[in-house]
Amino acid sequence: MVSQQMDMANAGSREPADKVDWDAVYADQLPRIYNYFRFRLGGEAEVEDLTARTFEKAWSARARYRRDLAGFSTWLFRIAQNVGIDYLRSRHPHAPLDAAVDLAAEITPELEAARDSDLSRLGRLTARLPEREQELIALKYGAALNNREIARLTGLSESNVGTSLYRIVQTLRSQW
Amino acid sequence: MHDEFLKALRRDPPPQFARRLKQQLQAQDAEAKRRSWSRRTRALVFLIVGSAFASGMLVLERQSSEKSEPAQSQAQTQMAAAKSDSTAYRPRSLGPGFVPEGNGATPFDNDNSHEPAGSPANMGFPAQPGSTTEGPAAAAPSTPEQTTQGGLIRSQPPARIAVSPLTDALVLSVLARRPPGKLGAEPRTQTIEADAAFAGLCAPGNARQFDMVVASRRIAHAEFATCRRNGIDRIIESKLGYQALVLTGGRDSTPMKLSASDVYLAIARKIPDPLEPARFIDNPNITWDQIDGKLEYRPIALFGPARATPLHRLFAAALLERGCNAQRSIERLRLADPDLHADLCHTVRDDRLYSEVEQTASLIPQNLWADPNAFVLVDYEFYRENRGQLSVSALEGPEPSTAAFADGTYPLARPIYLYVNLTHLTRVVDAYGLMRELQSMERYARGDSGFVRLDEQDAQQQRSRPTQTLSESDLIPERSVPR
Repeated sequence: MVSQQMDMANAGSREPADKVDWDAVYADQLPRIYNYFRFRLGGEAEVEDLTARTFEKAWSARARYRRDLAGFSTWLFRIAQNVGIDYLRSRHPHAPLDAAVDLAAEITPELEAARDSDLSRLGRLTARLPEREQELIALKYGAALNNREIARLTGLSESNVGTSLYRIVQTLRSQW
Repeated sequence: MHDEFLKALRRDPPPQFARRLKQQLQAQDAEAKRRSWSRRTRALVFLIVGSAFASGMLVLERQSSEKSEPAQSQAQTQMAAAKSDSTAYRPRSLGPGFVPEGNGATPFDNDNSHEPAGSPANMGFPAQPGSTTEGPAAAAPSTPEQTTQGGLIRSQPPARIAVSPLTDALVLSVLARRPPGKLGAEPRTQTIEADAAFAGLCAPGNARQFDMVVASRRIAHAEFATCRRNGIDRIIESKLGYQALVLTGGRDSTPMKLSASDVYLAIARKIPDPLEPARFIDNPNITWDQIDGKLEYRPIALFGPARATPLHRLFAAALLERGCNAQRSIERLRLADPDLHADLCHTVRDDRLYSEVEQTASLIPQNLWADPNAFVLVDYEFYRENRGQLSVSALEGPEPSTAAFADGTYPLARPIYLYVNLTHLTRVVDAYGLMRELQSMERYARGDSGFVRLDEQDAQQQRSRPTQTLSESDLIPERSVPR
């Protein structure tokens, strides 16, 4: 099951940077980043590749991360967003999530198959949404971020995030 | 479909992937350590070889001087005799009863201090924080021309300031209100994009392009790294304030939240054809719901700042361009056809739906009273002062505040930064005074320039370190996030 721990960086933000428990951060953030890309982009192989690229960039730049200026997850997700944007720019045509499930067949239990089928269907529906709404869905349900964290990343207000998500889910539900 | 259903679609990453990635990261660490050791080893070897070379040179030097010692000793004796003659007429080295021989006119007669001839104390400059004695004025050999105070000052060039297009009016208003007669040399300004300005500030070698930069963004990590590579690592950074606009309406109008894209599609002269986005058509929108079905039916009407004003430039850069680049067919033109891109982004419709209005406390409320559906763009200070007459911000995102300007979440605001090449501070006329005046921009800025002063805490922080130099670690979160 995906880890539901609180944002480790925020939890420890009073400590100096060199005392960050990177193992704990890795364990907490890896499933979030991984699922963010699953919801946002699709393609199991690409998801792993993009997750790895995000962590490699963050890892090599971790000495420059300043805890007093941004929470760790905000910083990491900003890197992930940039990695995602670079990837989307380079990819033609845009086909989020559709291919994801085909490649996920290596995990074969029935439950996984049903879940992936739902994800595939969701992917086809979200593909029709504007980029920003796709991003909100990925951050909320893929990365399990709360509305405040999403607001910080997207520049929207917290209430606007809540309202938009409610509206998006209603739209998706009506089309399901 | 509900929250729980969507959350249940998450999946843990495959364990073998998690393990592999962790190993990769650890390997990356090991590689970095190996490189670091390799660099250290190289540095150590270089140090040892360098020391050996220097020692060798010293030994050779000593041997050659021993050979020529007999020839030099005679000359040294003569020089010592001459020196004792020349120092004889220094009154401070002799007793009070000493009377110089002859007329006593010597090159040292005007030298009443112990400072070397080229030092700041002899130049008539006040002692300046951060000034060094390494500058060419201090290090230059004393010549008859330079020993006169005025001559030396006249030999210093005026300051060159690069200003970004958004801030040029502000800087000019500061310069216009400077007390006159500051050593007679007015600084020269050049309006230029921030990228080029920072490149000029950190030009390599001895090329001096700009001494100061006033920009509407912070220097990027990569730009500062370039400065350091060019040997310029002493740069003073001061945050002077912000420029901010607010999109608002009349007090009694129905609140509405618009995106930058909505505003652009409402007031641009040409917009992409919704049916064929690569084609650009005259803007057909006359109500907000034509732009986005979710917006209410309401006639489009917007009052904006007059062209050729700093506020209009801010409006174009922060709102129009942002909304324009949200249209994919236009965004694509940014590199392919920059002129067409700029034209499409910055040209507003000239019918009655968009009109210019002077930013005065009487005209704006009058216009809003006459047209309750209208929105207006005003500068933040105006908005604060006339809050009772205006509604909340109509732009999506946080409400305008100095906190939202500071963290960059409010889209219609830009920070103003001053950068000074500290090495140049002692080389140009009155650079220190000029820097201090720019740092006090709030005292000089005109009301209609959209200038917003820093909040008290930030201002206090800036005041407490007027000459603190920038370090690489100051520039982390925004611009140096790896892309």
